[in-house]
Amino acid sequence: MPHLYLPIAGNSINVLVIFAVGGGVGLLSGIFGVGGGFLMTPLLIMLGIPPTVAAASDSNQIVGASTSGTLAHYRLGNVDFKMGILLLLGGVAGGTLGVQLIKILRASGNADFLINITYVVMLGFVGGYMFFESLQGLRKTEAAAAPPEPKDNAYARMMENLPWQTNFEKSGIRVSLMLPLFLGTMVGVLAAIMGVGGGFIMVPVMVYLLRMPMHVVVGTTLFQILFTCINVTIMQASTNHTVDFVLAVILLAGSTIGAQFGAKISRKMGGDQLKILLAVLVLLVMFKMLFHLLFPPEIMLAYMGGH
Amino acid sequence: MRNKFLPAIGLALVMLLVCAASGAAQTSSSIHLEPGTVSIGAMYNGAQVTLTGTIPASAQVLVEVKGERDKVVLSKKGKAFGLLWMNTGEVSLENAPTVYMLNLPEAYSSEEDGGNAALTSLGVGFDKLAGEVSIESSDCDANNKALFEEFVKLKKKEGLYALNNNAVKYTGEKNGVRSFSCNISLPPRMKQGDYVVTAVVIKDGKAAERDDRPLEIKRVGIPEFMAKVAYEHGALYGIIASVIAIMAGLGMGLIFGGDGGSH
Repeated sequence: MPHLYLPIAGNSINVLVIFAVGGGVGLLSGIFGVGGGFLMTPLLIMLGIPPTVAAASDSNQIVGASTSGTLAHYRLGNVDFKMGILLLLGGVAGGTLGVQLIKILRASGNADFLINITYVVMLGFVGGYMFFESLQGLRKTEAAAAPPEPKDNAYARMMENLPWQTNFEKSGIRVSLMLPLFLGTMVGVLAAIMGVGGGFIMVPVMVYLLRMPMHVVVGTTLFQILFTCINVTIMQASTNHTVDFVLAVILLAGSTIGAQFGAKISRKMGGDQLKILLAVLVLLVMFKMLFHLLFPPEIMLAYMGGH
Repeated sequence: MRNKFLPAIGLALVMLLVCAASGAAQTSSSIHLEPGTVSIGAMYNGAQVTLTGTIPASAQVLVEVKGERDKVVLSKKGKAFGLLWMNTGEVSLENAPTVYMLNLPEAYSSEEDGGNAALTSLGVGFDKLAGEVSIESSDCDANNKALFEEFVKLKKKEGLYALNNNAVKYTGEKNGVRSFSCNISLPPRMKQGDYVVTAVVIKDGKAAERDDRPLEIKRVGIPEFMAKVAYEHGALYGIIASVIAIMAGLGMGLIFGGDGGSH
């Protein structure tokens, strides 16, 4: 078995196993368009990589993965740069705010409670909503006579009344500039608290709250994630020295190849089928977390940086 | 006159020989560690070192491997609001060695894993270690003994603390002296640093002698170069890592023309 020593992780790994992990997560990402980070980091921890190194190196591999993804979607005209930049600005502000919030909470000893609860609630909410929404979608398709969506609800009216209404041509929507900035900030706060890129929260936010078309959502998320992860990689490397570049490259090779097969599977499935499967995946992760919260752990001490 | 002194000289010679023989048996430890330096190269996946030596035939030997002493801060799990298990506090352990492995001969091996009174009286084992480590917890009413046991469990899971039964083998016996050998497996998680391998010679149930050999583990070649850049030029390392990932992503994108990887 070919082993490589990872100098930053301080452990040796089986190259084939790491390649397979990258491939497996890449396959799921290719199928669903989202969902690498929150699966990859726990898998790496299970393989003996320290939690802080696992998260930082995963960000490094996402830089590569989202570059090729953004390139592909840019060619197809699926990247709304204006929207992406606004969400990114909000995300950076929210991220900074979230990091400060965690610092204050850590000092008062309540950080881990908040992190765990945020995880479970967000995963449960996003997974649950997507599950029922796509289930309805599937039923509507079966009934073949979907009633028109009530467009004139309270949320839509409130959005229309916000100032600085702007056209987003690529997404084909007209909303206030404040909305993506505000939503980006919110996702940034949550992502910083949870220590993830925030892709799995950003996608539902774009689909349901900004009402962007799904194909533009995937391209724009990738564009935004690329910059978030470059920032995280450089910050982690300079302040905490936790980026293992060798690990990132092996994961990247695996995930890119996995994503190709995933994309092929994805094309053969309907949108609602995809959403319901992703919802199940998100809910499974949520139940796993809930299980760990409800049952006593095997060892009562743990290294810092894990959940 | 000559004849008068001869028996006295003979007696003195005999006594000298007896003393020399018993002395040889006492300072028995001719031990040897091979290799004394382990290099962590690009393909490193742990290593094995062997401690060999001779001891009096009636003696036993235990082999201890210890890392540098360090301070470690861990998060402590507890029940929040009486319902959910999560990190509820911090525990800091001072003076705990990064690595502690105790290799036992058959005579000291037992089913019972962990510290026991016999080992403690010999100055080895986890119970002895517990006495040397100072523990501070954010909880005032924390049980330090239980916390140390949890710490040992955590380190055992990583393979950095171990109690290895039947790990010292006696190979041959000659002239009241026997040879021993102990193969020590170094897990890949053992980091670059200075370690000490000690042979603890037991006579009549007591630790009669401790003989140390240094063991050095050091990064060489690519791992050393990468660690140096990462620790000494962190920002540059981060930028290079990002640029290479972008190039790799563009390359993959061009090859597959596809949808990228996970995100």
